Amino acid sequence: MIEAIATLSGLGLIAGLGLGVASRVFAVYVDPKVEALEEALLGTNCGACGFPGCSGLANALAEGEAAVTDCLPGGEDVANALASILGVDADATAREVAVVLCKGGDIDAKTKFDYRGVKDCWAAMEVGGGFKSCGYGCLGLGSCYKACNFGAIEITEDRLAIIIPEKCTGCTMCVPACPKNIIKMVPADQKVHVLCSSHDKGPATKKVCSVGCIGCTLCVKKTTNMSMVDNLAVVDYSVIDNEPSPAAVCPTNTISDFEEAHPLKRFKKEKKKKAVKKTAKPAAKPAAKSDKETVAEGEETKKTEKTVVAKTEKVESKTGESITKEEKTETRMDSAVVDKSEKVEAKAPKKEEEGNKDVS
Amino acid sequence: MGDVITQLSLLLVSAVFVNNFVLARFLGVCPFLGVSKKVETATGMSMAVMFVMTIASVAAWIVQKFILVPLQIEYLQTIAFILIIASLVQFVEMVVQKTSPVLYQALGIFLPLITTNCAVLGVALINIQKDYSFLATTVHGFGAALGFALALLLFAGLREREELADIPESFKGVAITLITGGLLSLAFMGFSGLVK
Repeated sequence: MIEAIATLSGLGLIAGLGLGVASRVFAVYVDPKVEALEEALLGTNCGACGFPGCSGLANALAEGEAAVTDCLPGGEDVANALASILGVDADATAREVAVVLCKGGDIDAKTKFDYRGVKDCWAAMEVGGGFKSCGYGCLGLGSCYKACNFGAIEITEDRLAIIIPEKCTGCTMCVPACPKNIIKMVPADQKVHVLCSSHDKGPATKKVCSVGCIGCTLCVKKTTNMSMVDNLAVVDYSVIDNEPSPAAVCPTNTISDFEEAHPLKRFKKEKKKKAVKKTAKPAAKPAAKSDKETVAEGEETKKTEKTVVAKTEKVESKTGESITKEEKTETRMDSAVVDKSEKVEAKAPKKEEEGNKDVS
Repeated sequence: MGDVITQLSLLLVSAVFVNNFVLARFLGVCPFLGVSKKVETATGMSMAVMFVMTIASVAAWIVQKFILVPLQIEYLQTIAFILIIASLVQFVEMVVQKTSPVLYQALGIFLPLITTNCAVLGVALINIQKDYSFLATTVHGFGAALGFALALLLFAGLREREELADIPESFKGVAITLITGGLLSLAFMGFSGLVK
């Protein structure tokens, strides 16, 4: 009995000591950075980054062979954590999202004929190059929708594919799925995009689509980050300063600002906007002024702007009093802005503290 | 001398084909099912198993002959072997990592996986049961690992083809994998009687 215990303990002791010594003698220097990086990763070893497991990505990151955004399932949180370990900027510009560069659904863009074939863009292309009158238009039959593994693409009621930037992981699977080649990768932090791919001349575009780029060059003249390429306005994403917003000067509303939301909500929103077109304009002006103050406040004003539009719509139905009531809503909006921005400021320091804790 | 060589080669053949560890003895089925999706990873796993099995059977034999038998505590075989094999694999992993980073890259992920794999422990115990000599133990350990590698690689090849095959909906996944493993085991039954 004693022999057994002694032998086993002896064996264990020798093995333990041996391993202890071996771990010193054969110690391989592992970069502490690599360990920290590996901890920050999800540890699921899914292989989406193309490296052999999370440790493979951690090694590659430490050697500078991978980008902090390479962990697709980790998303922004992991990218930020990795960036703080590596001491580089979180680099939101490195993250890209896909955008369908077309705004013309069936309501805005004309169709050549009634297509009732297979529900697939590539199949539709076989029939006279697609049913859209515009050769560059989204067919909206969902070939990209099927290619997306993350549910980031939606097809609107009037057959237009729309990518929700918040859900897009930037995997680029949808880019080759589009037969029209109108899905492009854009920096995630850029919110203003020209939602048209047509290189046709202005009048030709105007004939087939009410929201296409007609090549008027207004945006190029009035803003700093636009240029014309072959009858099409193009955003220069390297220029960060985009004041005034090109979206505001575009007469056809082709250039869209994604700051609020993707124009997916245009069905509800734009119908409302069309309905209150004249009344909404004066409300927009004070909002633009407060925009410059702080970003947080700017966002708030936009939210309140929505409510203003909604309210003025109601107001319009009761014609006659509309002007006076609208002024009231304007004042209401201003007070709302002040209230909400105070709240935002109160929240902001807390967030910073949390961020500091993470780093330490 | 010639007799010994004949016996050893027969032992090797029997360990690889007749008493194949996975397909005839049903040992080490976990990595057999788990690491057989790609031929590439199966190769890495096979190499690691070969390495560990040979060393483990030798180490276990030494412990048995020089520690457990003299002290008459053979009943502690299992627990002692687990201890020895586990620490040995850990040790080997460290040495490999230090001395040959290339080999570590190839085997590194698999080594800890098979630390206390039942096939590794099984071969050590069978060696003692059959009262093999030191040389026979080494050969049997290597042969068993070779058999494991053969089964794993064959299975991985089959599974890679299954990826492309039109499998009925209800058979997809684990079901077809187990059926394939069963058929492979059935095929290996054809070797029984080759060596007595």
